[in-house]
Amino acid sequence: MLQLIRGFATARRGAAAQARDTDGIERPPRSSSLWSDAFRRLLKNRLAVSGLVFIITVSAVAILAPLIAPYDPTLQDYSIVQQGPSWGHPFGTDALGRDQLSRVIYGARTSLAVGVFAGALALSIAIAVAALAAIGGRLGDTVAMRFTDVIYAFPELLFIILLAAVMGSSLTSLFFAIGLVAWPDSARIIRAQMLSLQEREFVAAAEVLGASKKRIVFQHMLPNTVGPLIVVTTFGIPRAILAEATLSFLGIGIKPPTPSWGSMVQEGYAAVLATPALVLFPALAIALVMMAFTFLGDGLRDALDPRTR
Amino acid sequence: MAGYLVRRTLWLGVVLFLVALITFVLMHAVPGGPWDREKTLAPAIVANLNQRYGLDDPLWQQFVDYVTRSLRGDLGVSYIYQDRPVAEIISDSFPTTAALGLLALVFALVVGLTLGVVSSMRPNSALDYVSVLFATIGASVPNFVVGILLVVIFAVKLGWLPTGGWGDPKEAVLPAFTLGLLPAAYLARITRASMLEVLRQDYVRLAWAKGLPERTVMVRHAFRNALIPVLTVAGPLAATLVTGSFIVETVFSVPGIGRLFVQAVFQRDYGLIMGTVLFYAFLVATANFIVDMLYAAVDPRIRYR
Repeated sequence: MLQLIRGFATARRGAAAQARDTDGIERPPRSSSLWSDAFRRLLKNRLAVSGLVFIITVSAVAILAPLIAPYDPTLQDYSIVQQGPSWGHPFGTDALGRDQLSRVIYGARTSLAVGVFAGALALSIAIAVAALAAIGGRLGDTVAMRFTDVIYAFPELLFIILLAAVMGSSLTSLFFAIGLVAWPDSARIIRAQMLSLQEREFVAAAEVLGASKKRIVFQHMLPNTVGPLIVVTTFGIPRAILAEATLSFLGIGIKPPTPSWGSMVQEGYAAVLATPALVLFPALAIALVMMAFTFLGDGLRDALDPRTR
Repeated sequence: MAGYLVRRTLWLGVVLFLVALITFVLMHAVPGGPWDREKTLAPAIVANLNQRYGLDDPLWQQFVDYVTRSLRGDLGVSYIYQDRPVAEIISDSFPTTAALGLLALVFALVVGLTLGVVSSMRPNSALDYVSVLFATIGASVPNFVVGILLVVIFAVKLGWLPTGGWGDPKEAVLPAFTLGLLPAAYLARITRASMLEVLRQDYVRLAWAKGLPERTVMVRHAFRNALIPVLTVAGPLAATLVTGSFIVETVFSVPGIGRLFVQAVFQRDYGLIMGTVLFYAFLVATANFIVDMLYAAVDPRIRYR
């Protein structure tokens, strides 16, 4: 993943440099802050903007679910079991006669909650480990990074499945199961960024002025990793969402009747020959959210890399 | 080089030991045991079974026993598959998983590298956009969603291919495509990025200036050098194939190790869980090891000490 991110960024940089070459005009550097500049570049990227708009829409749907959903997502009606799309139930009804549209709407809550909380937990662990590596000198760095290597060597999904099996299938235990596993990538990226910052003049200046190691790491270096952190987070949230959906699809995730897109896909898949629509809508919901985050993440990465200017 | 090999092998041992320890602790922290049935077994029978499988020993003793036995290649027995040795179950189902993985890998290499090279040759053309879009979608849509959408289209609606199973070549098409899509997308992205980088180098400009045909420039001068960064993702890709396998195998009811692991977790089959986890960890670690070696073989500038 790490290399993928870097490789893609360098390619974009290359394309930008080429464009300038053909232009033939050397422009004076514009005076604009990193953030406003990054934001402007982000807005120019149509895919990233559409991803952002989609994510905002889904978040609004998740928050306003009780107002939007036409039915109670857990209401069972045995007179309309397992029907295809109709005017009353645009996404059809499942094997227990529950309205699929309402369940997809409420499922957005589950997905986003897991994405945000598990993503935040993973990010906190990643920052803590990277900070330990930066503060703790040679020994701290070795311990932190070897620990990261071991967790990294553990096939991620396997680990999450085991943890989820241990901690049970409540929403909270899923936050922990996913958050506790999905941090090594981010820890490596943040540490790499910190290592390169250590060589910079402003860090040397802070050292000369007698700032403590802790102060340098948290006051001077960490704020300068915000760019990569934002990108790491944008890729971390969909990973957590995917992990929840996969677990629920395998039947180890959220317990029924809480609506989850993953378990809806699993339940719908059992009846795929009779009513394919039941599996189609939750599957599309997962696919679209994942794509939106990827578009946004790609756009942010390109926008926040000042070298692509 | 020899020193490096020794250190890598030792490190692999350490990783496998820690993986075994973590799995063991987690597994025994799971509420419930392998004898939980719909009909409760008499306590005397449970005690008997526990004694027979050494489950009444202290946990540390069980772990030490497991490690010493597994060093001799004995991974214990499965509780749900009537005492069959775990090593035998794994070696029976591995060929299926390996065949599926290889098919997916070949698909990923052919599609990914081709798309990457083709779109780097004409950046910002319509073809480039289509392949970048394919790569982005392929990299972001989860494989069980892809698998199920394919089943809906090709098995349910069109009826061209079976919904699942294993044995007939037709049954391998959808699982191999599903498993290979994500690696193919990654490869396409990284190959395109790497090619664009290489194509700006002076030696490629020189090759053009010498009047070499496009084919020679692209294949001999650009593609070969572009392959080096592509190799860096080969390790993570092996891991994707491995973890992808238990979802794809579950979706298409392919009788491989992935499905075995999912079932083992459900049934608390301690021996089978430990065996499959260790086997997977070993596969991924070995794949990374091979990739690092290939790396040195492809790029003469890299030397391990």
